[in-house]
Amino acid sequence: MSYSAKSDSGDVRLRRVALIGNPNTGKSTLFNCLTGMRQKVGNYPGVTVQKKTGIALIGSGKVEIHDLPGTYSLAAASPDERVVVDALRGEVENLDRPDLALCIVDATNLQRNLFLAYQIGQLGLPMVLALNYWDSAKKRQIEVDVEELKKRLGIPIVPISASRAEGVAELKVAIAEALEESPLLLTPIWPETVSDAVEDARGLLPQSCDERMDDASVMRGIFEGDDQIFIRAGASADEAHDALEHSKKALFKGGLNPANAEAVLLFRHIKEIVEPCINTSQSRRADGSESIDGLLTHRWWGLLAFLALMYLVFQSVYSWAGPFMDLIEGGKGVVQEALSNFLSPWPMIESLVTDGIIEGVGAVVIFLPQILILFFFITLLEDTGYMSRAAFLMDKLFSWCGLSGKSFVPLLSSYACAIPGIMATRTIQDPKARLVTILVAPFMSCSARLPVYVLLIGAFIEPKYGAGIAGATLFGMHFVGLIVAMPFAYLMNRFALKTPPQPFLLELPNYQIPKVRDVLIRMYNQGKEFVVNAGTVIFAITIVIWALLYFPRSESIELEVQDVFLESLASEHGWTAAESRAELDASEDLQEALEYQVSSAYIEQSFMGRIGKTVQPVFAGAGFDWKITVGVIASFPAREVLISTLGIIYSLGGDVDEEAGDLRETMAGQTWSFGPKAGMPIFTIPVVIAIMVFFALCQQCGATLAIIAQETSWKWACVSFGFMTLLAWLASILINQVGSMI
Amino acid sequence: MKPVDFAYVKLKLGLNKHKRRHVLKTLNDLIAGQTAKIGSYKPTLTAARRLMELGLMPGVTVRFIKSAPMGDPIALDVEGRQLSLRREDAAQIFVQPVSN
Ligand SMILES: Nc1nc2c(ncn2[C@@H]2O[C@H](COP(=O)(O)OP(=O)(O)OP(=O)(O)O)[C@@H](O)[C@H]2O)c(=O)[nH]1
Ligand SMILES: [Mg+2]
Repeated sequence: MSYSAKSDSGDVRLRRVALIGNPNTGKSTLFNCLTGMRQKVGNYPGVTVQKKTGIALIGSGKVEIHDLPGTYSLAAASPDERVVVDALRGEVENLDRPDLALCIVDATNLQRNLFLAYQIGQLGLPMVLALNYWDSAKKRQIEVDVEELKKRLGIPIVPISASRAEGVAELKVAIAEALEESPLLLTPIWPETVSDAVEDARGLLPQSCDERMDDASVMRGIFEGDDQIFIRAGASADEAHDALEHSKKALFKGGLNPANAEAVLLFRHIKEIVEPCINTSQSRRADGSESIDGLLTHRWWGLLAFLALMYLVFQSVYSWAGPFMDLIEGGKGVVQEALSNFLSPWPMIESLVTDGIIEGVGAVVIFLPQILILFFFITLLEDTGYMSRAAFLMDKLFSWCGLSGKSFVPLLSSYACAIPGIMATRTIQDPKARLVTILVAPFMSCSARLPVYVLLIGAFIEPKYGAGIAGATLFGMHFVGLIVAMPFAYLMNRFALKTPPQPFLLELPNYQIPKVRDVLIRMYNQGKEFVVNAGTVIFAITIVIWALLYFPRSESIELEVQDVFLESLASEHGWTAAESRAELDASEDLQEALEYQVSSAYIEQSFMGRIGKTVQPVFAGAGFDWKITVGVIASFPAREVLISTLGIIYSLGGDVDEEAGDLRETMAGQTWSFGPKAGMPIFTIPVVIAIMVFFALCQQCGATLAIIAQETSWKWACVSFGFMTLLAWLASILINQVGSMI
Repeated sequence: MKPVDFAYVKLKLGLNKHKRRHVLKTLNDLIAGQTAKIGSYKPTLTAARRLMELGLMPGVTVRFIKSAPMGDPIALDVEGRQLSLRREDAAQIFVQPVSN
């Protein structure tokens, strides 16, 4: 048997169960239990920001389970809460309402949690209640009389401990029964004032609208003060407004404040219902957490601990990832060499496979160690409950420019990659703070910038100034974006965005010991997301870049270069043409030099070389030659390709022989071949810093733009792109000009 | 028209005899460790609904735990849960300190 229902179109579909509850009540944990899926969980309100669907075997049939973001009420304030409301009201197109609401509540905080349950019950959805955190309730000696509560609420209630998978079997039985019987929550009897208000509203709504709305929806409209609900049901703006105003007056006459009537009435009701069912022997105090907070949110120790923790995290990300990255580099080299020996009869295929495909795969995989390690820490911080404390500590630093402590997590995540960071902004209720956070996120120094810094610092800063300065430079580069972004956020907030600010409210969950499983799942999910989403883009771009660098390729160039080479040999040493040819045939060094010039000429001839040369004057002020310009241009779709682009440019142009050294040495050996600076090194310190700052500030990531557009609109994606690119360009010119003068 | 908050007006006019002796206190005026009962919200408080959903209702007893290192926001114990809000919002919530 399978629980299925006929929809209007006649086809059979699976029955739907929606998991609903306040943030951090264990919905995703339960979802994973029921469906066997690996949804990320975390001890931080707002971990789930999108609806996720899975299939559970319940009784003998399949049921579709929806994991929804947590919400405190149906008066949705943030976009992730909107998801819940839309799902429940069935207002999303092609999606009807779930057949059953599986409300998951925190047994240690029943009254507050039941508020949402009552709102959902009001919508007329059949309901099963899962009393989660049963283990914590027992530990804190909170006794709930489940049988009595069942009677009083009129729906099946199952105590569970989702994280230990306790009570899940019983819950499944209850769900199976409820799908047959559709139990409804006993809704409170509202005082007459409320029914008067509903009547008043109905009196002013057009008939069509009146018929389409049941009392519950009208009541939601009144309680939320949201005329859109009436407008969606077919009322005109004026009618909706009038209806709302009149109903508000009715509430007011009855002595109720329309702004909080629902909360006051419903909580009063819940208290009456629930209080006799709960027996708390202990005084209700935020337990052990507060003594830990004595240290971790302490005036001095708290900040110190915070800085130490962040330092530890980034230090570990950097140093732990190193060996793995070396391993990947090494592996890549081995594969490239093996394949290139095998494919050498077909130069074009060889180049495509080794310089294009393997290089592209390598460019993706190389990020995995960092992403995995960063998310190891982020999950750890979230799961222990520290992340909320971090928001608490940092709020003041962010509030002046329109951000909040809640921006901290998305911005910190953006240090790994702006994409998960921007997605994490959905937990910010205030739309304005959210938008500003999204626009600021790409300024954070994401892990794709790190290789650029590491390459340039390793090649130029470290040999000249030593490891200490090199480390400090790397540390400093991570703040360039942040320092520029904060005033930018302030200006945006102050002048560009004119929406009233929303209050900052944050729950500080109790500390707990993180679960290894959750951490591993999160790492796995993030890694997969990166490889699938960003990885494909990066790979595709690497191939395109390879093609732009390889074509067009006419063999005549080789001969031309050889002629020029021989001529210059002859004039330099006063040899005859035949002599210089003989010398060339005899000397391996000369052959190598020739080969270098040939590949270099190929690159100059290539499409990319031509583009680079055309655009180079734009970057002349910043001291970039055409090769760097090519690297910069190729990096616009995804900055992580800079290294592989430079690799291709220099390895084809100069790195033909392995003995010639690695990319760093090749770059250090680059000189201007013409112009006033001919013979002087291209990579001077000001130029190196200009390049790094350019990469720090520039919006070079197609995937980020796409995600900004998805989360806001293309307008803001364009703003982000235009502003950041302009800023990066100006800053790099400024740095090179000022730096060259010193 | 803004809804009139009667409790607030009464407080202002000093109609509540037992409250008359107190200067009007808000959550913002509490010191660490102090316990207080939530009175009414100022009508200008935009977060009223959300605060109630989080359990910070009139009549509920809360304990001021501490303020963040930089002075803002503050942390409260609301029936065993820790809740944090900014001072600008806290200053719009009247309280009656409870002596323990
Ligand atoms: N002690 C205890 N912890 C639990 C229980 N159920 C879940 N947790 C923990 O509570 C935290 C929150 O769980 P999630 O499943 O992420 O909560 P959620 O409701 O999906 O949260 P959002 O997606 O943020 O709304 C995790 O750290 C879980 O391990 C339980 O029954 N007992
Ligand atoms: Mg979740």
